[in-house]
Amino acid sequence: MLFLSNEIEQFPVIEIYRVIVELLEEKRMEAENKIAELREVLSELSTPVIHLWKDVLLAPIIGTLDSQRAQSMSEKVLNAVSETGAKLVIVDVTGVPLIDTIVGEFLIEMFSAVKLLGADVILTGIKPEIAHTLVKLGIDFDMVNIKRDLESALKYAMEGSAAGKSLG
Amino acid sequence: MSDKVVPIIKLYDYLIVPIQIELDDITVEKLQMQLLNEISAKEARGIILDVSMVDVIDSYISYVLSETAAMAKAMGCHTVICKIQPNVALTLAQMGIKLENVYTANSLESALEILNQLD
Amino acid sequence: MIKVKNINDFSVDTEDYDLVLKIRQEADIAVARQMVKDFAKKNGFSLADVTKIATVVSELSRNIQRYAKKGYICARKKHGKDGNVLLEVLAYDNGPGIKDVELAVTGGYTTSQRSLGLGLSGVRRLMDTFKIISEEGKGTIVITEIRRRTF
Repeated sequence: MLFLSNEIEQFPVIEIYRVIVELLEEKRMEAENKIAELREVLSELSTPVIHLWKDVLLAPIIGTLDSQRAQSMSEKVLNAVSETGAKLVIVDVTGVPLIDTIVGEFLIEMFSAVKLLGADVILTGIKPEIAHTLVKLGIDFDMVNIKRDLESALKYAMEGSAAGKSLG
Repeated sequence: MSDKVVPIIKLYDYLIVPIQIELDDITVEKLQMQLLNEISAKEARGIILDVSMVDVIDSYISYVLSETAAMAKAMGCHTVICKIQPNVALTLAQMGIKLENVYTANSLESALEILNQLD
Repeated sequence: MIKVKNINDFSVDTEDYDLVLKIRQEADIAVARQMVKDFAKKNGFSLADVTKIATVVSELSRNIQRYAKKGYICARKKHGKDGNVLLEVLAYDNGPGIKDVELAVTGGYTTSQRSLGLGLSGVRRLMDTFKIISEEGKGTIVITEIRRRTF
């Protein structure tokens, strides 16, 4: 290994070292700010709530949820139900590989809260791991309608709207 | 002597009750009696409790609402709790509190729809 | 400065708190709720969390008023280990105390007709931390915290 301080007389090792540390610190702060920004964007993107048509909302969940995002999502969905007067919320978890018990509980609580606002919940896209977790947590199937995939859920929602009957 | 603690509005066979007062043991007693008397006098088939102005529902208030609905049921009357605030709904769900004996709705129209389809 | 008698060597110094509210009659419950709500809002807690906090204060102050007849609700803003902001609510009284704390907190306690127990299991589920100290004949202290969320 070549030591510059050996090759060059009065090589300013300490000064250079200081500058390097400062630069690295700046880079690190920049990266952290970027991460915080991206986190916010991610939050918006990963749990959008889409107003499909008059009484129906779609809330697709993409990626793994942590408890903070699950809480944010619950609030978003509930505010949306309250504001739009929606009668049905389709929660699609096709994009979720697995959930832990904490997030599973959050979801179940969100469903109860949506029901309190007079809307129904359809859950679609459940993978085996998630079915396992939800049942272990004691999900109440009287509270949630399960459809195999988004297509069946949408068909069900459309039939409900078309017939004009209450989805409650 | 009038022990009226809340305004009660009659609509068809139903009574609409906006809850705008602080609920404690004394006012609850009065509210329940006022409601039951009104159900009897107006021969109501359903009551709609409008809680849009209630910004906190704790275990006591939940109990009171369920209890009131049970009393209405005893008089052959259904109860719909209407317009729970979204944050209140989330808090109730996260506390694990269930509202018994009631239907829930997000608007007066939906509440009436629900009642129309019953009985 | 009001210093409270020790309950099992635990003492509360109200000087440490930003908000100290005396609970004596039913009307004080609504006041406590509103004041802690405003405090939480002022300290940047989200609307959803403000509702949780108000509900917790409602539960705890109702317990004080109903069972102990007199007690205090205290609140303060704190900083956690990783620098996040916390709101702490402390409820204490020198009332009858709870005989079986474990049972009360897991939701199996019903002491009077017009109640669903002490509502403590709900409080524990809502908040991030929950501590309770109670001794029969001496009183009860509940300390509970919620973290302010970053987004």
